[in-house]
Amino acid sequence: MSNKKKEFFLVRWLKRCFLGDRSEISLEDEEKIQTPMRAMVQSFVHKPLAMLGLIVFLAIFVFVIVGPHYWPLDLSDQDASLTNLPPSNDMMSVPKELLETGIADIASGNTYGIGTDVNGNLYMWGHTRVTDKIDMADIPQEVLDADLTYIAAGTDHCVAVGEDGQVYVWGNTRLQQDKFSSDMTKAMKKGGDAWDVIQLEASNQFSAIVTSDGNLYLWGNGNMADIKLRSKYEGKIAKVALTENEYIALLTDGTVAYTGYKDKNSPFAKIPAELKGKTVVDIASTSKSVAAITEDGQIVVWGNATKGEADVPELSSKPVHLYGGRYHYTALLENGDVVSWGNNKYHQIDVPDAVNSADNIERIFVSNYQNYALGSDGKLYTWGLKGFTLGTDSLGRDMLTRIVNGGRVTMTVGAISVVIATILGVLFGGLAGYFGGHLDIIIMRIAEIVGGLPFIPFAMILSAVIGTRLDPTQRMYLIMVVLGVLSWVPTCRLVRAQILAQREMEYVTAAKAMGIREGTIVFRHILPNVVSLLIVSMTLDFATCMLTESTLSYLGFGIPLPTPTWGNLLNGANNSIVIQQYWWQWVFPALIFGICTICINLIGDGLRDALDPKALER
Amino acid sequence: MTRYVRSAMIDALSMDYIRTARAKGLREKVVIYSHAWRNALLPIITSIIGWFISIFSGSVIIENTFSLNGMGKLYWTGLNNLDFELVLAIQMFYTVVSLIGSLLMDISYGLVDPRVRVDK
Repeated sequence: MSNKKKEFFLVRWLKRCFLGDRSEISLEDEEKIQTPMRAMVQSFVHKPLAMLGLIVFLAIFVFVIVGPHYWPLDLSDQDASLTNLPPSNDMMSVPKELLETGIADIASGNTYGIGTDVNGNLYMWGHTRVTDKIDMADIPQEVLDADLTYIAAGTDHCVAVGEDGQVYVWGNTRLQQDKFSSDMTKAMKKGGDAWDVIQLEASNQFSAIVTSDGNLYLWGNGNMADIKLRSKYEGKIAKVALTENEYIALLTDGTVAYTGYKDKNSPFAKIPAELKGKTVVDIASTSKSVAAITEDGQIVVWGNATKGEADVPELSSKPVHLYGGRYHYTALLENGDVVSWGNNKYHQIDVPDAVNSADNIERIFVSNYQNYALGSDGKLYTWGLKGFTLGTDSLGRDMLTRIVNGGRVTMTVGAISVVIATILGVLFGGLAGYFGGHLDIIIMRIAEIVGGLPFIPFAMILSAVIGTRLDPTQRMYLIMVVLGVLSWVPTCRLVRAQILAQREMEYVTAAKAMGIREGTIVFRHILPNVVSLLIVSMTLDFATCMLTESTLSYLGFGIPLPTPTWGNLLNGANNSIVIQQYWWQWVFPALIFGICTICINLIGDGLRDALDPKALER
Repeated sequence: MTRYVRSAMIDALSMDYIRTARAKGLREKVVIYSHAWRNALLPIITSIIGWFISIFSGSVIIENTFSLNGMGKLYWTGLNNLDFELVLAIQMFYTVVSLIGSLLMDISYGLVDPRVRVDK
């Protein structure tokens, strides 16, 4: 007994609610006399369906609470190049035939890869349907027939050069991606030394070819991209690096130059001072920045390096080659190590340990979000974007991340509104039930007014009237309060009815006789007897609140985008195109939400049956 | 629905008056339909009228999803355009419907179960 006095009163109260006052009863008596709570729990445990519901719900709950740490949400995140991708995991799964025959070249678009083997045959893998109409896998027959020497992949077009110097373009060709310049056609016709291709590159909507005589040929969408070369650089180009719409060139004398016409104030046009007087070995580009390696092993990055492209790590030896993805760089060092840096959203820069432990990396193919490293033994290592487990939405956001984070928001909102509703319900129900009289009449009339209002329309009104003046976070709290304030009535009625019944019990009379304050009698003597019923109603209310929150969000009066909730993830299902073509954008949220609600209802039903002794006879 | 009827029927069938009716030698049909079923109707009326009222709130969602032009859609558009007169009118209608629903519920209780009577 002495221990018990030290315990905090809340702990003691909870113990009494859930376990009963155990110390005063012998084991035998305990068998006979059980608190309703214990009887309920025992009966509940023996209901397989309800237990299954509980287990599945807890699994989802833990997943949704822990998940955001693994898939953190970035509200401003979007990627126009990765929109509406179906669930996939094969963006870097190179076909076996290609690996067996021997890889000659690999190029990768945003979501697909193309490769040639040593015999010049073309292979394609990944998600090739880049838009509704364009499928990169529709490769023209002439390309399949030709022996290819160079390949390159742009955003939505592919370029290949055959052994005979013929250039093939397929994919999106509506923006002149296949319209060669007149110089180029001339050189192509001439053939021989004039058309000895040494580099082929493709970017957003344009492509480039460098020939061994130092000429650069650019073609594609001239409105967007810089497809002109200043005449003074003709015959002096050694290598070219394409950014999204511009390019820089490495000249044959070892300097880097902005050789385009487009914009003198372009961020690429200002060649950094570090490069002055030094010979440049290699250049590379990401979508918004360019980089160069000097002879003494220094890496210089310039342009709009906003995604960490300029944060070159400390290198263990001199870099030899540099490759650029969409937002990251990968460098091959002299000692055979491979280093990546830049944006790491899709693990582009997490170079696998196997790459660095294998000291035979010969070639690296980097573009967009994918890295391929080829060892001299023909072994291929890959890192970067494999695919999205649950696909992406119309703004290129990962569905898995949004479902997990949306679940957290939905559950938080549901839980807090239930807590608000229960507190209000218990308070008003307790007061009305115990004191009766005028207070009872007033409270119950208020409850009837609130209960008589149609729920969803009224919540919509409240959200629309108050919500327009609030920022998204405040609006989330508003929704919690609105749901709580509108759904306390059933709890209030339940508590009132229970207390009316309990009030006449002998122990209340005893408590009164002992001169205990009335507030104490209601909340510490009577309420613990109502707790079990309260838990059942809370469980069911939780499901209802989650559903209502989702309904409101779905209708646009709940939590506003871009904050994800399960409701506004389903908002996309409004659109018939989404329903027909992008099933993963609504099936997964609907599925997890459905499972979750069913589980909570199973738990609630199980609890209710467990409470009701008559249920056992059915 | 089936579950509601089932549990209500089981409750009603376990009552004493059913045993009495059977003891009187009434036919099983009479026992079931006029004694048990009528009493089992009570909770069913509550839920049916509840569903009827919820049709009106549900129409907002259904009409949005399938882009039907109905009152729910009108309500939604009104709210989006901050056209509060329209919204208030429809809300009023919803409230009246739910009040009528409650009234119907009480009246039909009296019809089904003669024990329920309004005190004068």
